[in-house]
Amino acid sequence: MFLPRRFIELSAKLGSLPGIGPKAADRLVFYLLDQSEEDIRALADALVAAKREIHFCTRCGNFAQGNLCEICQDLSRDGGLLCVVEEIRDLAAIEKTGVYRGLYHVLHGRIDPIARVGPEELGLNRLANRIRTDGVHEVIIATNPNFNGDITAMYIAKLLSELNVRVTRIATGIPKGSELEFADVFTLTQALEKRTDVQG
Amino acid sequence: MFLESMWVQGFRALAEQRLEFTAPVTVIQGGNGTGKTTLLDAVYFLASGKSFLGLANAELIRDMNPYFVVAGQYRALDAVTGGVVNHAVQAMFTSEGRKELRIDGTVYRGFIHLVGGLRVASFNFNSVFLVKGLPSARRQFINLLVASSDRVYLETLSAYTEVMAHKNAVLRQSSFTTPDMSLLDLFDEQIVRLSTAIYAKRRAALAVIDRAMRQLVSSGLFGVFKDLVIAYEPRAISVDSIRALRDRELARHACLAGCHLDDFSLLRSGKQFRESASLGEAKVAALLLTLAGAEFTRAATGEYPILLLDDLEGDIDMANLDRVLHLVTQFDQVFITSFDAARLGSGLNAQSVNL
Repeated sequence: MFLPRRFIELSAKLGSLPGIGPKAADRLVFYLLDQSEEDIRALADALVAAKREIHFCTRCGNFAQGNLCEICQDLSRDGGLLCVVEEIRDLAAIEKTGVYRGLYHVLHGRIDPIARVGPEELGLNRLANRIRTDGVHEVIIATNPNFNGDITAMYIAKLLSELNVRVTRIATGIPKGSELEFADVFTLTQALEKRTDVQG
Repeated sequence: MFLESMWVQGFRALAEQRLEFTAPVTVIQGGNGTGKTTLLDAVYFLASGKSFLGLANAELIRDMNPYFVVAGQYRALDAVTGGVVNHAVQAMFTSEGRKELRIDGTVYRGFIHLVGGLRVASFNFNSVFLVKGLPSARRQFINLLVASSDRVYLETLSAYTEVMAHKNAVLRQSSFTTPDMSLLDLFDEQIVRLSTAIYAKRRAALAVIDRAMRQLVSSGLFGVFKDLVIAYEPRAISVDSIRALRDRELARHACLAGCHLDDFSLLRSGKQFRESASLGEAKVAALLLTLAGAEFTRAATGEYPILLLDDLEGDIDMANLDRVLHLVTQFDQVFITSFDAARLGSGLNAQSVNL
């Protein structure tokens, strides 16, 4: 082997990250070794600090540097509106739209009995409690439109049916910029069933 | 529907075959073990993503081969435009378990996507189980038949399979954790909704098949079966009826109601044909069902499926064989395996393939 042991160790570590294969890992090591020691130290510090200081928001499950995340601390947001998502990356996707001004609840998963994840593991009772105490008037369920996401949504809807809260689910339909002929029958059926009026 | 060419490599008995088909009837000849039935199975695989022997993909790979490939080019009627469209499919499976499926250049993950493309009606030595065998054989028959012409049925079936897998997982885990009853309720609601939809489509299809079967008999084919009818009465299903089984389901760790336990039966003079039929009668009745199924496909899609007939001579008397061969001329394309091609091929516009 013509590369030093340290090089190989670092490449293996980077290669274990999602989306990074062995070649990309090697390229990253080459790049990193080209940087000044200061820059490398800054990077390492940032990694350690992020791991040490970022926790889950105690209220919604988003990333937070204190007890509460930025979104939960933002008083201009509508505290009566709650959007339930599976993962923080889903929250990020909705935030990017810039149109949603309510709060979130991140489940960190979805009901998947085969992977032994049930309502209890997802802490769905915690969600119900939050709705009872926080004065929520509408819950928007934004779980993924696949089997496990659907089951999770239905379970939540049932769980909340006894509470005095409106429960909605984000619409499914044809993606913008795509073409109808490539849509699967289920999506197309749903899009037809949940069609909306067009303003003339 | 017409299969124009085929490429089979490392699939069961076949090392490699590249074949082109032009005549409406292809007679496949060869001695024992040369792969006649395998070639029909390869065509069946292109239509269903499965072997008609019910083997797992890994078992379909020829000994010493690292993979199998089954590919074909066919033309089919486009249901919407009414025009004829060419298609190309290629399925590959490696001994490491890697699957690759291409349909008209697009890559898909599961072989299930083959269903609905090429359509076949298949009669082979396993067909006897349609009459004599367990309900699963009949469900497989009706499922492939309906799914081949109805995308929504196929999607509904996959959704149902998914619900079952998850519900069974909860039931299995119930031996060491307390199961979440409202989660089971939710699965039961889905099972009722999907089963009801599936029952309705099976009922409609079986009514067409029953009618077609009796028409075939009244036209002179297998006259002995003039009293044969299809009976289909799925057990009524509701959320309450499943809930009543909850304790038993928890004890058995299995879902005990739904369309995965469904069945249809053949009645002759009002009695279960399954029990009274001889093996010979069962085979002939299976052929009748296969041909009636082809009529269903034609009614649903506007064209006949490709007919696959394996070892017909062994089971059918001469008079009926002639009638079957006459019927066969209605199909756009037929594959027949035979030891005696000369006799089968006479009078038919046939091409021979020697293996």
